[in-house]
Amino acid sequence: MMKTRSAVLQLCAGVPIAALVCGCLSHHVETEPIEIKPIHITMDINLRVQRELDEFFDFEKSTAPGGSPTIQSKERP
Amino acid sequence: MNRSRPGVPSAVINLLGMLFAAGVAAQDPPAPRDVRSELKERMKVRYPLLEAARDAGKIGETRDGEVKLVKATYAGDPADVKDAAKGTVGELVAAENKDRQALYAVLAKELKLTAAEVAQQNGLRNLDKAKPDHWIEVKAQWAQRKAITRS
Repeated sequence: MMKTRSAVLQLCAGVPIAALVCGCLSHHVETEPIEIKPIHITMDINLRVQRELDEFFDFEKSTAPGGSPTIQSKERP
Repeated sequence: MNRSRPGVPSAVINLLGMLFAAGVAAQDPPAPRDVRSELKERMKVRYPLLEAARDAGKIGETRDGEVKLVKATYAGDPADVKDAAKGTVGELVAAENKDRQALYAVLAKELKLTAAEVAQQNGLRNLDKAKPDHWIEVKAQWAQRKAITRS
């Protein structure tokens, strides 16, 4: 009976101590530095701009010039 | 002396005023897609006139994504000799550049760039698709596309 009681007491005292010790420990994860490649990023942005512009000006391919509007040709500079 | 209007509590008037103000504030500016659609419609209508003027050597493209008169004297020429209502070449150029600047601003905001960067990309695009006889302004000098080599 006494043995059981002391075991319970030890457990009651041990659990908070263990929790306190574990709480003080910290775990660090080493991370690789982020690598930035400016050349590739610039190219990607330029391609995105070109794609947006091509999408916007898609009518340039379908609209055949030289239909109704006419302009008299002049001397070149 | 009671200065409020008879029969209309001032609280009601204040509430109506607040509701009106909230309604005015809720009117958002047009969405970028709407602006783009409007710009596209205008530029699509203008495109055949611009291409005819480019073919005639009256206008050319700049590296900064603008359209420009090759000679200032062309400004007063009709944009379409068959239809004087379509205005002059100078007016055509001004209208196109205004819309292009608006487009560059919209795309720059979407792509998180400056309008100048978008404009330069369009300048390169126009250089690539120019016909051999079309005029391109390079370093304040006009040259025909066939004389320019793209690096």
